[in-house]
Amino acid sequence: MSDIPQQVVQYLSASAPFDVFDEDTLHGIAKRVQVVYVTPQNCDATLMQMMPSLFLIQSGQFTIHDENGNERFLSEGDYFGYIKLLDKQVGNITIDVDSPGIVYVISETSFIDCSQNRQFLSFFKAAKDDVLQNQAVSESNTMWLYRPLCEILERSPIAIEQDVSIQKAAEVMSENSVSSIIITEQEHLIGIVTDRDLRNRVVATGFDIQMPVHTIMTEKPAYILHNQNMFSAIALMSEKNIHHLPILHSDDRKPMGMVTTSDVVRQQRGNVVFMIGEIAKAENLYQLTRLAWQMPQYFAANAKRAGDFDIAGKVLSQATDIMTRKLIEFFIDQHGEPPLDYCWVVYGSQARQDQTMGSDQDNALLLAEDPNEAQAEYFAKMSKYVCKSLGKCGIKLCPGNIMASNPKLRLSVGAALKQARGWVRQFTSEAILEFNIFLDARAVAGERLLFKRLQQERKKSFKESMFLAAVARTASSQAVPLSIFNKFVYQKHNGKKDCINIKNNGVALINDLARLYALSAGITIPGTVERLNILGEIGTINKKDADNLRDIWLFLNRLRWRHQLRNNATDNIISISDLSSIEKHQLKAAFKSIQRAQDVALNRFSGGLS
Amino acid sequence: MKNWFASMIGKGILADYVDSPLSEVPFLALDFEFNSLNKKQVKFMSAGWVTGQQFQIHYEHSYYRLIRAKGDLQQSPIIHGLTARDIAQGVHAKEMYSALMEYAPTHVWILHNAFLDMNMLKELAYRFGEAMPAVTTIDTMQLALHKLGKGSGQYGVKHDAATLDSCRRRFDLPSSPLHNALSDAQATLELFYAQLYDMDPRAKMRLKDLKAMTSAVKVY
Repeated sequence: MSDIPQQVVQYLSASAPFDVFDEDTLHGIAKRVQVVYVTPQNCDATLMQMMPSLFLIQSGQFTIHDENGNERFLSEGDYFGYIKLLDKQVGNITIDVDSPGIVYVISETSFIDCSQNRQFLSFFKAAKDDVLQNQAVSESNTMWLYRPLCEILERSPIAIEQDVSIQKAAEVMSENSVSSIIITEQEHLIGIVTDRDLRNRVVATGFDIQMPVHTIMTEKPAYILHNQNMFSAIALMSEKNIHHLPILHSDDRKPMGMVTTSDVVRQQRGNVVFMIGEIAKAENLYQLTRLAWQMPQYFAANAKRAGDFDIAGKVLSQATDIMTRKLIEFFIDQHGEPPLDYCWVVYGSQARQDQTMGSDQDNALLLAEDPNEAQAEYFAKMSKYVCKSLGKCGIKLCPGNIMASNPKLRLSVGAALKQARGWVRQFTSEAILEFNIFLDARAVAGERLLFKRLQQERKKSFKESMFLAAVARTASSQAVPLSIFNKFVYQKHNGKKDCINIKNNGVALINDLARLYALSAGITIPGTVERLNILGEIGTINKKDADNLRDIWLFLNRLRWRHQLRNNATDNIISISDLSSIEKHQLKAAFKSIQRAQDVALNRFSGGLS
Repeated sequence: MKNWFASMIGKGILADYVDSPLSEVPFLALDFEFNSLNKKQVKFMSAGWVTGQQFQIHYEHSYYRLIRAKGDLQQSPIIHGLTARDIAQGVHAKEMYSALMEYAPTHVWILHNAFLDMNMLKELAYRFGEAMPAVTTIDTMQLALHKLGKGSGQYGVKHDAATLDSCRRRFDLPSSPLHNALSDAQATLELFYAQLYDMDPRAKMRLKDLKAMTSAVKVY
C-alpha cells in the first residue's frame, strides 16, 4: 500500500510530455518514481547505478557529458538519460553536479510503459535527434484538415421532409442561399437534392414541381459523421466525386449540416488573405484608412490557427504595399506625374514581409538622378503625404526617421551606391547596427529597375570578407535569453516577471543570420523564410540546418502573433507562463539551436574571433 | 536523556547504524495535521510519511490517512482543505498510531519541529493508555536554526525564517504545495537531505556527531 505525495504527481503533470497522461495514469507512474537528492558526493552511488533510466530534474544544476565529449548544462525541467533508453548502443553519460538538487528517476520499465503513448515517445525521439520539435510547424499548413467537422459547421442543417413539394424545397434552398438540401424521413437522412438535380431532373425534363421532393432526390447519399475531420470529408468527396456531403451526428445519426466543396476552398485559403482584396478596392484616403483600421480586428477574428500566423506577416506586408501604391496613386492624381523616375523602397520587416501589428514604417525613395529644386520639392511633398497617410492607416511612423519623408532617404541611385560603399568600409558594430536595416530591402512602387540596378551593384561590395566578418560579429553579439544552465533569462514587463522579448531575442537573431548568409551568397531577396529556403537549396547552409532555422523562425513568429492577437498587444514581449509545457521546451530548444547557429556563423565568417 | 545513545543500543535495527554515516541510516519523514495546538484538546486530522535512505525517497511504504474524529471541528479544516465528510471517512487514530510505531526501532524519524509532533504523539499514546516506544528524531527546523546561528529555537515559536517553505527556499528547493501531511513529509525529507549535504559534503558524519554538533537530534 502506498500513497503518493501530491507534489510528485503535480510536477509530472506539469512536465511535458507527461502532461499527455490522465491523472490515474500519472498516479501509476508516480508510484514507481524514485526521488533522489543528488549531490556531487552521492551521484555515482545513486544516478549512475540507476541507468538506464529517464531522469527529470526538479531542482539543482547539472552538467551532462556524453561519449563524444559534448556537454550540456541542465537544470529544472530538463531531462537526461533518454538517449540510452532509446538506443542501448549510445548515450553513455557522466554527470557533474554543479549544484545539488532533486531528480526524479523514471525506471526503464516505466519508460517503456509510457512509450505506448506515441506523443510521449516522439517527444524523446525528437529530443534525441537534438532537433527542435518541429511537428507543430510541419502540421501547421495542414492543421485545418484535422479539425473536427463540428468545429467548422457554421449553421444548422438545411433539411426538409421527403413528402414536401419540389418547389417548396427549391424555395427553402433560395431562402437560405444554399446549393443543396438534405431530405429526411422522420428527421433521418434519406436523400439529398442539389442545384444540379433541380436543373437536370426538373427544369430540363419539365418535371412537375408540385411532386414530392423524394421523387428527384439522390437516394442513400454518402455521409460523414460529425466527429470526423475535414481530411476524411475531402477524401470521401474525391472518392465519390461529389460536391456535397451531409454531416450526421455520430450518436443519433440526425443531420448536423453539410460540407461543400466551397467550404473546403474557404478553409484552405485561410481567411486572412481576404483583407488584401478589400484594400485594393479603396478609392480614396478615407476608405483606405477605414479599411486599414479594421485589420487588427480582422486578424484577431480570423487568424486562429498556426498556419494563419505563418502568413499573417506576409498578408500585413502585402496590405501595406498596396496601401503605399494606392497613396502614391492618390498623390499623382492630385499633383500630376512625377518629374523623374523614382522607386519607393521599403526596409526591415515590411521588406522581409514579416510585419506585425506593432511594426513601424521603414521606407525610402530612390531617384533616377540627383533632382533639381523643383523635382526635389515634388518628391518631398509626395513622401510626406505617403508617410503621413500610412501613419493614419495605423502603420506607425518610424521613430528612427527611416522614412522617405526624411531628405537623407531620397537619394539618387548613384548617391545610394556611394553610401553603400561607405558602409562596407566602416565596419564598426555601431555602424552595422545603423545600416543593418537597409540590407533587407524591397521595391514596392515606381520604377523597379532603379532598385534592381542598386541591388546588383552593391551586392558585390557586400560580399567582402572583412565586411561579412563584421556583420557576423554583430549578428552574434545579441545573445539568446538562456543562462549557461539553460534557464530562461527573463525581463520584467507589465508587472510580469517571466517575460522574454521574442523579437529582439529570437526572431531578429535568425533574421540577422539569414541576412548574413544571404549577403555572402549575393542573394537579394529580403524575406527570412525565403532566404533560408534558397540558402538550403544552393548549399550555402546545410539543408537540414536551414530547414531547422526556418522552422524555429516560424515557431517564434507564431508565438508572437498569438501573443499580439490574444492580448491585443503591439509589443513582442511574451510571458513564459502563457506558454504550454511543450512550448516551453520547444522555445528552449529553439534558443539553443539559434545559439549554435550563431557560433557556426561566427566561426565561418570571423574565424571564431568575436 | 543523557544515556540516549546507550538506550538505543540493542534496541532494534538502528543499532546496526551506530558507526555508519548518516546517509546510510533508514529515515522516516513524517508530518501531521492537528485541529488545535492545545495538547489537551488536540485531535489528529491526518498523518503522512515516507521512507528513504541514501538520499533517496521511496514510495513503497509511503502513507497518507485522514484520521477519524469525533466532536466539533475547529478552524483547522478550512486551512487544511479537509471537509467534515473527508474526516469522517478516515482511519481511527489508534490504527495510524500502531502503523507508525512499527518504525520506532527501525528508522530515524525526520520532522520539521519535532517537539510539537512528538509531544502530540505522546499525548495520543497516553490516551490509549500506552507508553510510547523510544523514537530517535532529527528536527530539520533545529538544523535550520542552528545554521542561522540562532541556537536552539524556542519551542512553539516558529520564526518566519524557520518555516518549512523558507528553509527549503534557502536550498532552492521548489515551494511545497499547501499543507498536506504527506507532501510536507516528503518536503521535510528533501530538506533534510539538502541540509545534510550542506553540513557534511563528504558524507562522513554519524548520528552521534550530529547530536554533538547541534540540538536537532533527540530521543522521545
